[in-house]
Amino acid sequence: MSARIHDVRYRPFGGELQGSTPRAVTSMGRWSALRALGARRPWTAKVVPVVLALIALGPAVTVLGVKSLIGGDFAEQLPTDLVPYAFYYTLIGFAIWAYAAIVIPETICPDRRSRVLDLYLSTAMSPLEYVLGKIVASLVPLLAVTTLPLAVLYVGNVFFATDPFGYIGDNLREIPAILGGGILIAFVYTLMGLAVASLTSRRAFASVGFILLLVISGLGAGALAEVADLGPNARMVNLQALPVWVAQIMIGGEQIDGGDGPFAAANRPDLVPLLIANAVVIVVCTGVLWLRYRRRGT
Amino acid sequence: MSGPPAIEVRGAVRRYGPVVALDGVDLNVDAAATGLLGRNGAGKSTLMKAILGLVRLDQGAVRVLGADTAREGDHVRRRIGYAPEHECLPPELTAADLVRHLAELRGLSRADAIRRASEVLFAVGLEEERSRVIGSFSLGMRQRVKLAQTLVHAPELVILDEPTNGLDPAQRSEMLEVIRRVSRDLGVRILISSHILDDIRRTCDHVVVMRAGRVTLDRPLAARAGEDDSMLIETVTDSAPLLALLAGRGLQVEAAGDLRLRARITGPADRAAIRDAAAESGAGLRRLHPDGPSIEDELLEAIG
Repeated sequence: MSARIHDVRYRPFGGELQGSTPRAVTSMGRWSALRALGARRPWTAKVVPVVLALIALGPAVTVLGVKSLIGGDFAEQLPTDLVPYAFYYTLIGFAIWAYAAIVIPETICPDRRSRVLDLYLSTAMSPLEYVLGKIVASLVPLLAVTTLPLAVLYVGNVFFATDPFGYIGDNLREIPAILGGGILIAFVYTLMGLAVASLTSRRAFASVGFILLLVISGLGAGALAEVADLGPNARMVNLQALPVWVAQIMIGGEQIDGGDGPFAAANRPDLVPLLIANAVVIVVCTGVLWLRYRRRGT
Repeated sequence: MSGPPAIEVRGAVRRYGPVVALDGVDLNVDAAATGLLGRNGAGKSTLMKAILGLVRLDQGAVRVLGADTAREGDHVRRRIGYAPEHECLPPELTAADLVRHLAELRGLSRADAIRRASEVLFAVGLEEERSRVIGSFSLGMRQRVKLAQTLVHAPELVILDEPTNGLDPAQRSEMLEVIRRVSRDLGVRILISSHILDDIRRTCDHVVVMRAGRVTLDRPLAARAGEDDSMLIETVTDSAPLLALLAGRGLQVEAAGDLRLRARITGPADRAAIRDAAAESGAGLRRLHPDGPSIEDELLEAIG
């Protein structure tokens, strides 16, 4: 009788499987976000997200740089709001759109293209957990361009203020407004980006589709408001500005000037129609995602 | 194997419009390695998806490891591993990252996922290549990655849909060896679908043949008792001297036509006796084979 040794360096897994929705969503979100941001991929995959995040941070860094250079005795003479928080979105609107257009399809299109979705759904992961994971994967990086720059600016303003605690006291309501506004913008664009990207397996098509949606809705809003003379509320079909207008109102109140361009206060619909329009966008995008991912199999 | 059968299928019917993919399938699967054999379109993939709970049946029920796939699909999928037939691996991830990611999705902690990914990639022979991106892998290596991810959470049952599809002969042979090792050495029950008879013969203990959505054969691959008892002896010259010699040595033997004898044998010693007697009689042994259809004949008949 002879013995055989099978060195397969394999043993049955003795640990406990922890199947839970938060765990599955977190895992899917983390891996998808890392992939979309270019982690463990060539440097070319990292360039676009990093550059766009730097562009979004640029105005904050510039303002704080000016304050630090001029600083000292002259700091008192600088206007406190060198760049008002609500105006900040006007400066970085392009970076937000580009980030959403480029990064969000990266989280979802490759799964359809490489058909790894079939593999995911053959595990205990449900379609809902998959979609929630993709929302996390898109939302968290997007916060880097919608919330982080304003947060950096706020912290810098506190740091350079002659009376930091006084500055915080005077600008206390900006803290939840900056966070809430940034999260709202990121959430709406995340759902829009995922809804568009869920319709194709090609990243380029998804990016172009998202940009086209913004451009066409902006042109349509302008036509309705000015050519059809339906007034500012007709601009609530403008997807370029819908969540940003709400964030501006949250941060700066009704009186804030969003500057020229797509976020101009003069073009802004009233708050209630704006909220309704954002809610409609969220519902429609959620509906598209539900239709695309409602079933695990056939 | 103890406990409930790995797979029980009762009266499974699934239609896609006018096409009946599963037509009243009844089946019990409990061997260490079971082959699901049939032509393309026979209903193998639909049956596998029904076993995973990915296809809703129009009629019937499927129980896997004692659980109803229609009501406890998540529970079932947590306990089994599945490798689809088609290409389904993200080319930009490394093998280790993908297996680790899927391990986490299947409920392993991060630390366990890293360890298990390394173990299963070693078990399928990809230890050296685990840090390479999957896009640079050959088809055979990608099939092994698919197999590795099925094992990472130590499932009780692994389902492989056409695991040798598209492989060249050398890759196919290696893949079959790995699959056999998984079922034999790692103690994991396996269900493999294939349209290649040889793949099933080399890897499985039991075979289920499907044709047009029905099970046409369900049997172990080893010869049943009595199947090989009756042998036909074909000779080059007159078989009468051989008949006399064999009868003289106590074998039950009779003439079965020109140059043919039929003998009942009870073991290898009788085969050796026939060989020796043929040499002594000078009859010349042309062929010695089982009387009646072989397993291959039976399988080919069932495949249609």
